[in-house]
Amino acid sequence: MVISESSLRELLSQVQKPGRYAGGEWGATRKDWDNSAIKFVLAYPDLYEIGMSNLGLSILYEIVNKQPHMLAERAYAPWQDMALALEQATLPLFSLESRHALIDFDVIGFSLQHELNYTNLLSMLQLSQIPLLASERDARHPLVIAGGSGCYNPEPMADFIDAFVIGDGEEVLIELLNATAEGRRCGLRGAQLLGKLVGIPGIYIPALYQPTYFSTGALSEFVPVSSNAPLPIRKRIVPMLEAAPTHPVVATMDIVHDRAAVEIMRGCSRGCRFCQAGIIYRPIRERPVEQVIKVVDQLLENTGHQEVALVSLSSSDHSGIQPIIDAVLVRHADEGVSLSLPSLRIDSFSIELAEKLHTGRKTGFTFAPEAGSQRLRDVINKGVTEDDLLRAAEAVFRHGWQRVKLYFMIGLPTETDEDIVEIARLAASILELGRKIRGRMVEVSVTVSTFVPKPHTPFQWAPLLDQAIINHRQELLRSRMPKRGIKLSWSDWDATWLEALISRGDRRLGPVILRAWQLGTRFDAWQECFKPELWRQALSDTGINGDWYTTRSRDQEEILPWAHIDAGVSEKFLWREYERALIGALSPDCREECHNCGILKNYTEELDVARELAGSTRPWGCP
Amino acid sequence: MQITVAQRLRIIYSISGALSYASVLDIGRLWERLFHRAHIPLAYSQGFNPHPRMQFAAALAVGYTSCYEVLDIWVSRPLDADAIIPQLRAQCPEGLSINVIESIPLDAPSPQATLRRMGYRLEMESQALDTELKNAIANLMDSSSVVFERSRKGQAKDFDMRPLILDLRYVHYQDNRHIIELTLAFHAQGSIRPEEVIQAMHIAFDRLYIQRVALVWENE
Repeated sequence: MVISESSLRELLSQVQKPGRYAGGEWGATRKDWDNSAIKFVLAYPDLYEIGMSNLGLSILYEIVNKQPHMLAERAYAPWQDMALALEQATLPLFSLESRHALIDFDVIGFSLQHELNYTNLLSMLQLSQIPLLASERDARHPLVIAGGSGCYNPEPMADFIDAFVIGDGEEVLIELLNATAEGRRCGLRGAQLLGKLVGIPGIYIPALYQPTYFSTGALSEFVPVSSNAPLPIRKRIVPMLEAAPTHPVVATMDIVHDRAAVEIMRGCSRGCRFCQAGIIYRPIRERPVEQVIKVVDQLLENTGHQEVALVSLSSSDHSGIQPIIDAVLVRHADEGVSLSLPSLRIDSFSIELAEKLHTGRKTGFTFAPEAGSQRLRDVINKGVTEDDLLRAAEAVFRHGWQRVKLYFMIGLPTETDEDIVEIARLAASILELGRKIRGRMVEVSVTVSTFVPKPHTPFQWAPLLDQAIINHRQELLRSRMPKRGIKLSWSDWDATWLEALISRGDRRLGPVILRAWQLGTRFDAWQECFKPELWRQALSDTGINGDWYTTRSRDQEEILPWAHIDAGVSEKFLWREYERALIGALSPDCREECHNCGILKNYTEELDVARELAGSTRPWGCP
Repeated sequence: MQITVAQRLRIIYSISGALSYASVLDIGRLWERLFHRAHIPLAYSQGFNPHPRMQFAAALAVGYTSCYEVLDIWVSRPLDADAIIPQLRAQCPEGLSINVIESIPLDAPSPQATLRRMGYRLEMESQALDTELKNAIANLMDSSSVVFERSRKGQAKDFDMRPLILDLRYVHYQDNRHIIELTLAFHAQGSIRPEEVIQAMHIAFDRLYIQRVALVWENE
């Protein structure tokens, strides 16, 4: 079914921001529906403004549309006004390009990035008139798959998703869609296609596995019910970064990141022990300097954007970042093009880079020391000293910035009240430093989020701290912070709690998510929509004890709910890092010293391919 | 504010389809990126946040289409207005089309300052008979004042729209739609929207499509 021009007009006359649903943007790809063997829709369970800023989606959109026999379109979570308008008109959710109902596609691919979006995924299925539970879908429905960092603990969403894609999506998505095309040729559709996907490395089909539990509640076993279902399911990696998207869709309406972006590096070598991205995006793969420069040229030419972001987990760690910046500035500075480097490290090199990039007004500069005391920074392996931070702050103020933002976490393993007091002291000394250099105008803002121990990190065994402790520490921090010149903000407990519940949950969370959605939870990441009381009710309705998932520490023997997903690093390595954390032992940058995380051992084939492609024995960041 | 300016160009363009849902700010950004893709040397203001000099005649309401929109741009090196049309058309997204580009004097008044009238074509899907519509239009045009209540910042205020309605006429019935033409005066102090005129006619309708068809300046 295609939504007609007049139905669209009718729908859009009832919503606040019709641009979210209008499509027709510059760079949007319209392929011939009838002549595409596989019709794929990238579905993002948050608003257009957020989803359109996601680089991963634009990578996959371009890769799929480059395949002559495939078509990729886009759909985003409709805001409540649009959801209501669709329901009242009994019209289905539709794609932006051809305005086909989502149910008409062969495959719907959801991006799972953030736990607080998960209920939106259910809304999108329901608005598409597709049964929420995978077990209730059949050949009348599209195959529903999911990818993204959320899939490293897929269990809470296992009831709703037919197949998860684990790891880098570039190759495996095409393999999956090709296998789907083969099945479609034989007349198979929806759940019937799942058999075709078994055996594709990196694909996890939850229906093929069965968990059993001890009476304590912990997992006793997680076994395949089909002989050819792999265990564990190892993430896919691309040997080298593939061609970057150069024809991205340019949003007409204002979106969160209204700029062109190129991924200059995947992976991070720093080994911060709280960081999930640092594990799941291993190994480090740099995009060669000449390639980055060429992609930037093409992006500017094709989009008309005046800003390009050089994206990675730690952009100043790219070995060629200096020549990249110099070349781009030489080529484009007189066109008024500006460059941005998100996630800079705390060192003088990074500040020199930032200074070089800055032509306009100097607004805020952001640092993420993460912890207040040296002891705790060593526990998390942040590898930044107070001297580094003060020197960096001094350079920033001397270069003319007036506002410094500082990011910290509270609730980290081994944390005591003293570590909290240190956050206040550190912030105060940065404020004082700034005032000495720039005077009274200096502003320091401190954002303190509550630490959620994430799967596949050395801290995966650690608990989320109790609300009472977090409240006490937030209060302590508030009382110790200088009253003037510092703006303090922290995260809402309930949102932290929900994030912990879902990210650390197992398959038994499926009914909780379903129940919460039935009770009316939507857009949980949006403060004005978030209703934690409905989540608590959902837990009680389903007889699930939330604390058991969130604030319980886990021992080494326990089978973790995500243990069947293999991020390519060994559990032994993670545990070793956890033990080192507890004694405050630093682990150096893994480009200097290999910590035997398992990547090199697990991806020998990919390494060989990478060596050949790069013409180098060390194509990755590994030593 | 210093700007190196060589020439001023007036672009007359149309908006349809998906683009009719864009706000005036969206359209501004869209044009700016389009000029960059087409390598048009926009004249930039100097300073911390340089921005290109561009002026629209009148914001088009979200949901309207238009076959007559006006944008003035200032460029830093002289261009052949006709020659750049294909260059720009190649960069137009769905729903944007360029009708005419002309070079105008640098000191010509701003398009907004001398705008006096705006013409609209309304297409209405309604059960009403054409005679009912014609009567309603005649009543409205015969009245010396048509007061309606408008709420601004939570306060209701009476507003007489009649002086702003310069012309309102029933054209014909075509493809199940009543076609109506409306000309509104443009004033900086107060303006009304075509929907508000239709509301004042007290005719029930299912759908209303509004297209801007003309902008008329002083001395025209």
